Amino acid sequence: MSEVILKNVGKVYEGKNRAVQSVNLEINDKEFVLLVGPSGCGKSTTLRMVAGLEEITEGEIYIDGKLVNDIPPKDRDIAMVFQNYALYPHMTVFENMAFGLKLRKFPMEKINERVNEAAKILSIEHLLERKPKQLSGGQRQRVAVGRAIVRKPKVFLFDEPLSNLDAKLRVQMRTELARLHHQLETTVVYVTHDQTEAMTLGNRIVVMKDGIVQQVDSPLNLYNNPVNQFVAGFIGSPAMNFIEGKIVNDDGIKFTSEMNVLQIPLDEKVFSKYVNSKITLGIRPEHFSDEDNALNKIRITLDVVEQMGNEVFAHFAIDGKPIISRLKPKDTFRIGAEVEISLDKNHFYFFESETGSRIV
Amino acid sequence: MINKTKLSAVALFLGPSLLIIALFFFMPVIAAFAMSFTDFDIYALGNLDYLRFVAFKNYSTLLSDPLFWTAIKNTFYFVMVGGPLSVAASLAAAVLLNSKFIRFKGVFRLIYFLPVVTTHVAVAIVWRYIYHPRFGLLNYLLGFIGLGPVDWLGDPNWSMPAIILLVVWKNFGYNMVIFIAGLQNIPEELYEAASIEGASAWQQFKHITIPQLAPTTLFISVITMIGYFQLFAEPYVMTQGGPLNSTLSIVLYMYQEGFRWWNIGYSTALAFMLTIIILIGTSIQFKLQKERNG
Repeated sequence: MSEVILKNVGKVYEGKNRAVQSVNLEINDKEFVLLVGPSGCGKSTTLRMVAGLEEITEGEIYIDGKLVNDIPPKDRDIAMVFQNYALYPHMTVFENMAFGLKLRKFPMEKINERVNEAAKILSIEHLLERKPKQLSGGQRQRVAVGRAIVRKPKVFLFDEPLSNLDAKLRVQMRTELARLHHQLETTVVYVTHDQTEAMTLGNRIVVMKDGIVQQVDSPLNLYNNPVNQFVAGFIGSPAMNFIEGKIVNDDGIKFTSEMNVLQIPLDEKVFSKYVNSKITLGIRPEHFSDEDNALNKIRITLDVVEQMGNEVFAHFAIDGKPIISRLKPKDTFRIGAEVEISLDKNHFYFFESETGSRIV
Repeated sequence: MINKTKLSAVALFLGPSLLIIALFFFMPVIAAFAMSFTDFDIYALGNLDYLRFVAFKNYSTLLSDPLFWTAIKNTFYFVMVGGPLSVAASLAAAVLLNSKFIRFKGVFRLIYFLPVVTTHVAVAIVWRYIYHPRFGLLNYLLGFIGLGPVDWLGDPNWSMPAIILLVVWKNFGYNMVIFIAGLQNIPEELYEAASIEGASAWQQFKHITIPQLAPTTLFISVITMIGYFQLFAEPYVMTQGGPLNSTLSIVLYMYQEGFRWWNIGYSTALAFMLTIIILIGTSIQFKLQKERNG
């Protein structure tokens, strides 16, 4: 069992700059948890507090039931993979992977066995005698992962491990990491700013912004039920479209966009108390259609058309604001073409414009 | 093909510096090399007719000159003990000043660097007082722990250690600055990775700092060795090579032969012997470094 528990964890630098604020999180044994958010949101700081590389200024962190606030990194039984790999340049791949075991006074046969086992899992057996500078980015990444797994730690920590790889390799390593987690069955805490990585890798995702946890949930729940505008905009690619407007009472409760292009009748029970307040409508690109005969049909002119083959990203404007939609490909979609497009009312999200919190 | 304008531009830019290097470096070196095969002395200085070509006589005399061997022995003593001591002191100071727990780094850096830019003579005068057998600060301090007094500059056994201490103190700040630059180039992540893997502070120093500093250390060792083989000012000011020639260095002997006794031919031969020694020392260090890198 190796669960990680964060209780009211906070980080304040030099008594004034707050990086992380009261994070509460229970990471279960063998769970793959992702910390995601834009840069500067405190996700790396949180991970580094778990690792012991940053002092925990508020709250408590438990690993495997043990309070680790004052335990140095080496005694926390964790392994970490860094964004820049942090391989020791003067050691061979073998020595890099064996370093931690040597320090822990493992017998040589055991070290050989563990390193070879890890090398086999990662298919880097042929690289063991090389130095890091003779390796490609992807190979270095594998060695860094190998160095982490040889020690069989309780928890793996990954700090943006794929950010330095090119797009193709990133996708490949992502799949391998998912497979590796399945194989090793260890608790993983993984930091990334890439929402695709978050969606594809994690059992649960922790979305952070400005040092505060916004939502903790499974990938699908985050996608379907974001608690606020930030999470809604962060999860999903291309991102959710937002249209500013307000609620009016004019022959029934309605949402009208700023320039009245959109008029959407709404449920009176929920929205009557918002009359005259500013509201933001959120709609994902995939919830536009040019086929449905549904309501909420509008005429738009296409700005940019990105043909992807299996789908098309059609850009246009509503109320002068850029909107992106994801449609089934058609020859008639061209720049300047006029198209009737409908919005799927079952997938509308409404947020209070001021606070960003969602209206359910 | 280089056209004419280009050639004149090249000449214009490179010409002055090449001229200066030729005039003040290559010419004297070649002249000195030529002189080392003559008996150039004060008579030849007066009238070049007295100059005689003596082939390798200066060099063969050197090899059977007991003072030359004393100077060699003293210089090696100085380089072998003072060199590593100086590099170690610089490294220790650099590591201390690079630590994130130290405050007022700028002030300490300045203090440690001050001796480097202070003139030899001023330093020597102060240190003569420190080393004074009766009124010196060093003996006074030793007295507290029941040692001494030691006649630092008067006892042939202590004179060289005294010189070494002075030189190390005066010079470690220079290498310290280079080491600090080297330390700042080591990525912080390596230490973080090592600390997670279980390395103690000492193990991090041994397995990361030392290997990562290897190129800097090689540079510093070579520069220090070359400089230390040319030990001159400190014994010249402090001891004049004494007592009993115990601080007579090669360059000091060269200076005495050349400018006190005017045996210029002989002293240039000494200079070239020193060059050969430094050349051998440097190549040994490069070779050691290469072997360690595998």
